[in-house]
Amino acid sequence: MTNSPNTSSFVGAAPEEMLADLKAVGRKAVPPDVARVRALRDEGQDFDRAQWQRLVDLGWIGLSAPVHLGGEGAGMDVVATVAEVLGRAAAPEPFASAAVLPLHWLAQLPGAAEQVVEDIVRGELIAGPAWQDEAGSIAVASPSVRANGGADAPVLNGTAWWLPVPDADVFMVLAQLSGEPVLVRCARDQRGLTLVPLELADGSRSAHLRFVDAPIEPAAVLARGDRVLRTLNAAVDATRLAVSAELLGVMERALEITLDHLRQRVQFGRPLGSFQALQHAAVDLFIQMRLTRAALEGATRVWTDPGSTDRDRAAASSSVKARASAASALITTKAVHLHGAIGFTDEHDLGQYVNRAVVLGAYLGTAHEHRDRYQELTDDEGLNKVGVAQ
Amino acid sequence: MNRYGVVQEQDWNLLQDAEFQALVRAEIEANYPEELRYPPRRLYWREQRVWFQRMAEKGWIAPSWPTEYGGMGLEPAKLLIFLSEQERWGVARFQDQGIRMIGPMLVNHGTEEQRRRFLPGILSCEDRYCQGYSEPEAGSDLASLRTRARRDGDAYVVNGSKIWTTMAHDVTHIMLLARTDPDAVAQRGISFFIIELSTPGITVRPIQDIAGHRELCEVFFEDVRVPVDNRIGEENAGWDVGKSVLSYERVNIGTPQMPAYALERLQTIARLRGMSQDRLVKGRLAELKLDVKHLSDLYTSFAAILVEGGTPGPDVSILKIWATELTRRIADLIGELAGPAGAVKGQVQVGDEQVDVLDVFYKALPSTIYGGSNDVQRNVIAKRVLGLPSEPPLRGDARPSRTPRSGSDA
Ligand SMILES: Cc1cc2nc3c(=O)[nH]c(=O)nc-3n(C[C@H](O)[C@H](O)[C@H](O)COP(=O)(O)OP(=O)(O)OC[C@H]3O[C@@H](n4cnc5c(N)ncnc54)[C@H](O)[C@@H]3O)c2cc1C
Repeated sequence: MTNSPNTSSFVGAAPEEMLADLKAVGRKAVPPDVARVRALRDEGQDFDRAQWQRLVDLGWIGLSAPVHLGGEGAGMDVVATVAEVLGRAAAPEPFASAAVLPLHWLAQLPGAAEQVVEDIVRGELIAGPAWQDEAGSIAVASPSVRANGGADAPVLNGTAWWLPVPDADVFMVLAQLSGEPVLVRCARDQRGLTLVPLELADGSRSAHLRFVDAPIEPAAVLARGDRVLRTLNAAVDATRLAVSAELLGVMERALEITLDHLRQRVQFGRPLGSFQALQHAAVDLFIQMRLTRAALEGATRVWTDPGSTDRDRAAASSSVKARASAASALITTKAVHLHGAIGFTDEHDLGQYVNRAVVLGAYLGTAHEHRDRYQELTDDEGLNKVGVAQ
Repeated sequence: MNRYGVVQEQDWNLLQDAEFQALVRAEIEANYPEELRYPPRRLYWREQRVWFQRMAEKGWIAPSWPTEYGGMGLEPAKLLIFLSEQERWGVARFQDQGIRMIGPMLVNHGTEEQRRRFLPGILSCEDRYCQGYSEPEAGSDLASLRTRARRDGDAYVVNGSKIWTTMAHDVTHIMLLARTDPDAVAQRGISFFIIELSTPGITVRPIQDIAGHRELCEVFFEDVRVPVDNRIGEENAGWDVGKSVLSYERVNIGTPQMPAYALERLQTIARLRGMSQDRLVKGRLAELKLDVKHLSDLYTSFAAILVEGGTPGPDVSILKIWATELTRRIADLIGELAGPAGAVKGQVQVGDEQVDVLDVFYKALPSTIYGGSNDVQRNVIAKRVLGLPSEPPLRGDARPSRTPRSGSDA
């Protein structure tokens, strides 16, 4: 972690009315549609390519890419607004992991990587970032994939763990070549590559990429040097903010469904929602949802503030991811309890939100991990700073 | 210079946050009396007047009021800095209900004449207020209050009593909710008054609390004559005025100040007891730190409403619930970490420092009760924000009643 300002290119805050419009329009364009999600899952598909293309057409996939590479050059407030809409829709399309993450990463690496950015923005390429170690450490550490054989004829060995988009057209692999971190573009049919898929709670998949003497073209090394790690770090933090926003959408929708249920379901001759014990339980969920929204606004303010350093941004992302992971788990599971048995059925919409919270809550760091990280990142601040971003 | 006689040296919101912070910090560190730092109880006016009169003269007494009414007009980020700088230095709070509640209320409900009459005294600290809402038989069910104000010519005659009136023995004015129409449905027959405590017929009696302090009071009214001009809002329309005051109060109880202070005490005690690096303790400290951080994120969104001179909606109750219950959680952990020192009243040696370990405990304990108990706040949110249905009526006895309900649930 460096203290040098702004590893990602800086984009300031958008006007509030613009964000409100985007949210309203977005909610119409991509409304909650759990039936679609369930059908995809039952067909064994992680997500729907046609829907991805719609998101491309809406301009959402390219939000994070700079304008000179065909993107929208939008800031994190805009990205968060879209992510929230997608979370609310329980959409399985990997916006955070296959748009926000690779675009933030690659756009900062001049040279060959920029071509990939343009392809992603046009919807011609889905790129899966593969960088994590076996433990799934939240710190971007030294790569677990090694390239041997020299720069002329590199050969990959090792495993990249917890890849979020196994269906991607290409993988962006973090590797180590002659003691330097490198970014390697790797095709699905790469010789010596095996995918070990894992089925996740929401029906999507993750995978480990196992390389055994996999020969790659020298040109597949898109970037090298410390900046590969530095930009990845910043990109992962941007993605955490987007995932948190998606979780906010998830919990908001789960709470809405639950409040509807409490108003309608009658037991003992009264709507459930008239029982004070259940009212108070619902209020506690509402408070967690509002805290998440406030934490997200706080974090976005840091990201859209020109004075923020990488470290400020990292702390802001950990702050909101810690809250979003914990709050979404609490809200969705308590929502099942408040529904009774119907809430535990696959037929009910709620289940998809529960499972989505499980998956996104763990992605790029759990609440516990991010509390620790926040504590470390803010430790030398004055004790009483009431969280005013410096 | 505005018509309230207060000049701001500059538009504070134009400064960078860091500049503003440095400026506030310098003022406090240079001028705040050392012996008044981190007081474990509310200080009396005579003990702290020097500092607050200085703030008043500087034009810094009403940080969140709009500048046109004599405030600093701070936007939320600046307001948080202003508050947290005071917290950082352990600056005392005075009985500032005039600043925190009466001012914003008069802006929204008072007449121009009343603003001219009451705001200058608040801004100069000559007039300080207490809140006369609760009565022995009217706590959470505030609308059942019985203190009576009977119209008699150009005055009202007040009879009855209030209880739990914080610091009534140390202030000059009381805001009073009294019944002006005993025949109307509960909330409809109430009016809101501002009364000088020096008015003949008023007696104040302090009550000792379990922390050993004498901050709570009873206030008795016996044929107290109050000019009609001291009524705020229309006759019998005082309930809404009183409720708007409560919503400002909830924003105030919901500032990150109390939990941030409690967290600082917790971190200090953990350090002094050599427990800061314990894995489990570290995890809980980190969690509480983020709980405080997210409170301040949440507060920012409500403070924005106040700075623009508005009144927050019923969802403001979430601030009060979160702030007070968070402080309770912090107090619990302080107790767990303090060991035997956690039983000692007042200052005690912990490691190489003197600390008042029980201070946070006694501050947190009543906070879930005052300002509208947290249970009642949850009732309000459930109905007015989440749209959940009302419970069946519970008035009188458990039998279904045929007469209309007279009670309130705000
Ligand atoms: C330190 C302190 C300072 C105070 N300062 C002031 C002041 O300056 N001015 C002023 O006017 N008042 C003041 N109060 C009084 C405060 O507003 C009341 O204590 C509060 O409104 C609760 O009323 P009560 O004490 O009569 O408790 P009750 O209303 O009798 O409540 C007792 C318990 O029952 C619960 N309860 C009550 N009704 C319901 C319900 N419908 N659903 C669920 N639970 C319910 C409450 O939450 C509480 O736990 C202060 C109180 C304290 C402790």
